[in-house]
Amino acid sequence: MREDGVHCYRVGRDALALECSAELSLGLQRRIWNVTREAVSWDGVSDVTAGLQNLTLYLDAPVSDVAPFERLLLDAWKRSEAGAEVAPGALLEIPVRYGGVDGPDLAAVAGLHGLSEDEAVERHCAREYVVNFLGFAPGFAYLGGLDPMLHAPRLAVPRPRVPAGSVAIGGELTGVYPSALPGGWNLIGRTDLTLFDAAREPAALLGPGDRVRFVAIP
Amino acid sequence: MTQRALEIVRPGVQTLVVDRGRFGHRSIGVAWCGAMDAPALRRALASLRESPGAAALEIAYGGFEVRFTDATRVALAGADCGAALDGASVPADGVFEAGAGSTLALQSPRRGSRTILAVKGGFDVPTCLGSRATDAGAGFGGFGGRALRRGDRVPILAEGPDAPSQLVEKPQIPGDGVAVRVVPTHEHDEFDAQSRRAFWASEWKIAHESNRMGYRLEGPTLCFSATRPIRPHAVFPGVVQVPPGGAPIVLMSDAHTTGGYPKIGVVLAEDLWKIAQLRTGERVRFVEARS
Repeated sequence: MREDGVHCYRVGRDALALECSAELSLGLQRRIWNVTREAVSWDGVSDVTAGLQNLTLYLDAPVSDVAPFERLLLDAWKRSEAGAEVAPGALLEIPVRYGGVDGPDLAAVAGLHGLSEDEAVERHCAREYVVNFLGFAPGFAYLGGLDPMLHAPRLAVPRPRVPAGSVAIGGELTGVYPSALPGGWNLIGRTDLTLFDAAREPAALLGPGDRVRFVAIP
Repeated sequence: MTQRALEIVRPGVQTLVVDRGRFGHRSIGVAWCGAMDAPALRRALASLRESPGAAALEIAYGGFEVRFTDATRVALAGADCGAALDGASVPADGVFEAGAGSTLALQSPRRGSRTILAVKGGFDVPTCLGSRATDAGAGFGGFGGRALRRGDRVPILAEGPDAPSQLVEKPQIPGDGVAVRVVPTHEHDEFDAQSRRAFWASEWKIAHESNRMGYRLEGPTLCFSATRPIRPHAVFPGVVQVPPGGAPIVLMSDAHTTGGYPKIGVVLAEDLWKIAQLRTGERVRFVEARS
């Protein structure tokens, strides 16, 4: 049942979660993606959501005995170890107009750490980020790997509407709003890339494990 | 020949094209967006012997009027809005024929909040990611990704063969004080004892800021006593989450895919429609169920 802090539990009657309580690591998150990809095609599973070192299966009908699905999950988790060291995901460059009307919170984020706006932009562009998981809205990718000198708490009062393409920082994560949404992250810039289009294949520009680099444009 | 359609004369507070939901894409953040009263959708489609995957309209709080361009077989289910076709009353939970050019008007519901209007053939809007449901938050699916407006013409597909007939149950639409079954989560015991008692003992009032994403509840403040950080994880319709303010939210059809708040319980899928039918200001009670 337990292997490196991994356990399964039910959430309500129709959902089953697998959680790895070990410290966060990219290798473990990669295993979560592998199991998620596999589980979505299992008979009796209608949908799967990946979180941060956890995933949840939705079972088609109320199931009184979830043991078979638990076994499937734990077996897939064991197998996923082999896939954990695979080559890194695709690299996407995202062109961003930083600051000004496109990034109204850039000065505040920079100010938190005594940086100038230019220094903050330089740091945001200097690193390569990894898509940890998608959630919140279609195509919204939670990007890990943010420079600690750019960490910034979420806004006390979320904005009712954040423009599509806004590049933002929430705590120790960064991301891009795929559509106009309410949002509590700090807006530092904006891109013209379309992160989500239901009519496109694939609909989401970024998938779990993909890598992102931001490029400053005037 | 132009396609049969339904023309919106009065859209009401919010009328959406819905179906049973958009499944299989939660891992890229796509919500299900199925009908709020899922049994009412199934009932309306079954009574037309239409496919269970067809699209219908979900009308919130009545106050709605449409005109049929051509003869159409129609079914209503859910909240009874005293529906009338060209002034003559029609069944609130059943099938009737609407003639070419006829007008169907819904008043405010006497009980419940959401009404399903289905037509034989189903509505002809594009399928996006396997579903015709509107994702109004993300702005895609349904009719242009948005609620219907006055003057919109929603096309109707040609009638196909009848689906196998089914026995259709017509449950009473729940009202104020309805009880729904909730399975406690593994985080339930990490709420303090007083909060746990209050959760099960209270009548919770549906707050004004409630919508298809979630129903906010007014009542006692619930306190999550554990201090461990909660990693972002899956949330879904039925989950009762408790943000730091202590006022619970029951997640509904358009619920986000991930969240970070503690969850006290999950409403059974087969009971969720009962909460969906409650109106702002009405109350719900929770009864413990086992997983």
